Amino acid sequence: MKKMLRPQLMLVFSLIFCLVFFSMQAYAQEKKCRLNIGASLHPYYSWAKNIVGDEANVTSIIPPGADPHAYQPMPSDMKKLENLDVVIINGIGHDEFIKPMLKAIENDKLVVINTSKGLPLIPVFGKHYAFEKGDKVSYNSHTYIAITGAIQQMQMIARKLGRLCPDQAPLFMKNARAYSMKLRNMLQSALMRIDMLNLNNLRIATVHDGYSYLFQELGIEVSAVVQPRHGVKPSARQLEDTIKRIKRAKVNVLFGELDYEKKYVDIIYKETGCRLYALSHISNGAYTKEFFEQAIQRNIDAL
Amino acid sequence: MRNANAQGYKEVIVAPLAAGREVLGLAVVLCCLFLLVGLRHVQVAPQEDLTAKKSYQIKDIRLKNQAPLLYRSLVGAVDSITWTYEAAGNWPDISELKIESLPPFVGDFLPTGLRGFSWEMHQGETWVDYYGFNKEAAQEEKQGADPLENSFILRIIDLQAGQYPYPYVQGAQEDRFTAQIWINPHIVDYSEGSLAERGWKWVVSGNAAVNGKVTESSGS
Repeated sequence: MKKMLRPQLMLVFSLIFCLVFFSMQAYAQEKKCRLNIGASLHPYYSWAKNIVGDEANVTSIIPPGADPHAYQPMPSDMKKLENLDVVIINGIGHDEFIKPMLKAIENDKLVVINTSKGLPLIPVFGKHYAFEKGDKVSYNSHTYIAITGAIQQMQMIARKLGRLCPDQAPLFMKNARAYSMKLRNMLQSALMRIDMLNLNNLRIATVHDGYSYLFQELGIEVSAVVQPRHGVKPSARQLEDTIKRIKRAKVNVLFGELDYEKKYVDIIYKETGCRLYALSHISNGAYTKEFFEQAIQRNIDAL
Repeated sequence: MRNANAQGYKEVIVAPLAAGREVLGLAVVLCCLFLLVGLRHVQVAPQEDLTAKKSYQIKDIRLKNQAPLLYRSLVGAVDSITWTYEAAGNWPDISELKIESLPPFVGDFLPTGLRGFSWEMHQGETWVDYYGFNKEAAQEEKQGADPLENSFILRIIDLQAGQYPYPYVQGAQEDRFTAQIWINPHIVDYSEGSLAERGWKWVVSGNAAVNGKVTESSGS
């Protein structure tokens, strides 16, 4: 009788053990800090994903195809914002749509990470010396189109997320360091390629002032910005003005945007002999973990 | 008729106020006016700008040539250094930073013009200085090249460790570390003591929102 009971008892004990073990695990999982993070721009989504891995939920505030410059918030975006713990923003003009949303939001626990805070900024092209006259300096908001700046912003995000979830802080920092290393290697490889080029007779211009941070870290001087606004189809008059500026600045290479129409490229080439290459603005497309590094690599390849 | 007039009107002589009383009255009125003006001034006058630039500070937007890039690179190195300090309990030396491939301590991550910097670590009680100087650029400058800030110091202070060098800025209360970048247009040997008194300039962000109140007096 005793012998027959033994296997049954063992089975019961095993079942109880499993039940207690899985309950404890579920409890620990429940207690574990799991942040809901929102990103106003594509790069912030990629950086946050690389920092937190699967240990937090990362979402975008605006849909993948939307243009952050002209985006009008929808009621559904507000609802999304209300459910977040953290929102990562640019803060100096590239995600203006978020400002009224943050004002209107009824979410006291929402932590706003302003990625431009603490970052060395570059004044808008042509306004470098506004401070000499005591004028207010306007800063270039494209802080995310660069590797050095990306690393600094990402480390700041990791530090702030770590403060919100102290248990996860070591993991966030480890991930941020690993990702920083990856990005630095990309920068090093780009610099090695640029070292092999002779840039002495090159005069470079950009269609709009979005790439100053990237050009600066690569040691490339930009001679002119021909059309400060972007995402706008140029009128005949604006195109004529662009051509005049290119000629005046004696530019021989022009970096435009990926969505700059080919007919304009052809006209500029015909009129000035200036070659036009496309760079990504890194704020359009699907939100993925790899989006930032892929886009910046495409930009480096174009350079 | 004259008698009737004389009876109808009564001559009243009003004595003039004493000159002293008149002056006193006027003074009281003026005092009240000044008091009101003073009160209004206190009410509407702008607060003292605690973040105003000091004589030994320079805004980052004034940096020229490739100096902004080195400045940016040093700012970007701070987190990696403080993480190592927190994990290991001591400040990483230059060889450790090189192993970690951290720019600007590894020149490969910078454009050609900035690869000539040599770096040294100098440790204080609660802070560390990473001092970099570019002898190559200084030599080129003599031959007519563009001037460049030739000496940089990245100073990181542990604000929880007690005595620290002054001046410093404490950001948020929870911030354990504060970092400063100092520049000097000349090649100067590193020496102990106040950097501000030895001609160094502390680079601060041109973005006013970033700067905090500078603490200059000593005390822990």
